[in-house]
Amino acid sequence: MSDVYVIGIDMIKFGRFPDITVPKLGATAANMALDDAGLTIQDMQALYSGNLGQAAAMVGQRILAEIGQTGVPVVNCANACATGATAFREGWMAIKAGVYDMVLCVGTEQMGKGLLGGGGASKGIPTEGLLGSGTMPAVFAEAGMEHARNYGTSFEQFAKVSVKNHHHSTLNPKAMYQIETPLETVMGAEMIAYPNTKLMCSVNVDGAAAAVICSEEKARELGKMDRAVKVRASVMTSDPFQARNMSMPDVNTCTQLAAKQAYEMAGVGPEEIDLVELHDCFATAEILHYGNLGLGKPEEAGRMIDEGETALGGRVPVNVSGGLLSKGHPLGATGIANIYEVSTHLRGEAGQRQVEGARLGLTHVIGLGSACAIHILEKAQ
Amino acid sequence: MSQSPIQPTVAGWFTDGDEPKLIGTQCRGCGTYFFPKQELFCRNPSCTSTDFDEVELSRTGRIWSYTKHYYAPPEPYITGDEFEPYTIAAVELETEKMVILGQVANGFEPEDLHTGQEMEVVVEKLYEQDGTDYTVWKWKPRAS
Repeated sequence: MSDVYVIGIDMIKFGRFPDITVPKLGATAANMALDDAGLTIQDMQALYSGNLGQAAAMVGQRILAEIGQTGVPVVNCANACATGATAFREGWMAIKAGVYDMVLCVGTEQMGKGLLGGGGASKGIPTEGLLGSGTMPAVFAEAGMEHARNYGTSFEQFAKVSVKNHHHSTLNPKAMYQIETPLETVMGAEMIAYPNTKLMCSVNVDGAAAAVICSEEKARELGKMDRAVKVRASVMTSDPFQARNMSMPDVNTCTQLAAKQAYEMAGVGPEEIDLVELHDCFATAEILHYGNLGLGKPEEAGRMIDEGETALGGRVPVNVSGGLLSKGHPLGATGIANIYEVSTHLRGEAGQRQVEGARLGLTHVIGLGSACAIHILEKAQ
Repeated sequence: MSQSPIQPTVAGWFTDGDEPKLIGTQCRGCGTYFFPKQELFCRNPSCTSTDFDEVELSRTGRIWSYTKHYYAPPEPYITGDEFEPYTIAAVELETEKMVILGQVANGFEPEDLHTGQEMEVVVEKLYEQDGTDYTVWKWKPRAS
């Protein structure tokens, strides 16, 4: 099976674009990725499109209607916050399988302002829905409280995650925000669900990101290896059965499972990873995932944030883009935007926020506690 | 059919009376407890059972984690006209060892709670609509 390479990747600046349609947002990112690859839509053999808000509305085909209806197959994916990563992974699998040798993957979302709904279905009785105890802020607050109880992690340490990621995004012109948020501002912000204040929750924004991926043979034939990024691992898991968790997702196990598989597939250990874009949907989540992804022992997570190990310049920088907390979190776009961020560092093109000498990077998303996707990426040799 | 002034928000999820209990199911094959009720196929991948007994779950448990919800969750959650922040808890049931989420009974703050604390199921009003009080289960610290 051929290795798969990213040869073109880009994202629009995340923000609020109520007057632009979803297909136009996706089309913009798609054209940017094609430009980055020096190719056109004519070169693409299939399109994998991720979007959640209009999952029933053929967003992928409507993107092609903006940039060129070549008649290629289009697959539309929806997988909560793992939607974009799912679209990317479907493309990866098609190339792995040898069905195509070059495809386009696009993730798009238009969120608008305000708070996300919980895990409720659109019809019938939403599980936990009516009493409001199964919302995402509640689930991640409680998971953070468990970490605090087991390892002594403090409110201040959780808040420092937000300080760090907001600082990072001041160096990222494509992030929603470029503002510093001092510790006292973060801790003093409106409480959403203790210990997460409003500044410790991801930002709902509109966004799109796209990637052109291809087989090794194709990348070499096109002479694209100098800026190419190799996909060393692509893994997805769902929430495994646990008799104690019938009414709430365990936000840790599906990431732990995916991380183990991803490191095995890539043949590398967590200590070899130079930078990580992980799913900081809440500040507490980032702390949990340090342990889940093996970046440190779970009990070390508080110390890691205190000592700047996960800040730019630290041992393993996490969410140098600003993360979901400050770059923003357009659900369907996030997975590919993470891959864009890591790829940009591996290419040595991240400017002020460049992680020096980055060779291996990891991206992680988790959808509603039950869909985890991890990619390990490497600078092409 | 005339409607009584008090109705459960979700019918068949909990019993009434002085000592209310949550109603779940138990798999006849592997013994796993479910709440909400699992009725068609067992979720345990190593079990092929399709037979379930409806069971009343133990009405006490111990706090696994808790927090306070300060914002009004969007639909489909029902919060009433005037949103009041509420305390919530995830409680591990005494017998079944399954974690069940719920709001904490009116009047209790996170300061009143600690992990491992014993809680019991109570039924309280969640919201009112067209003159009917709709109820839901909540977790209440058990008087020692």
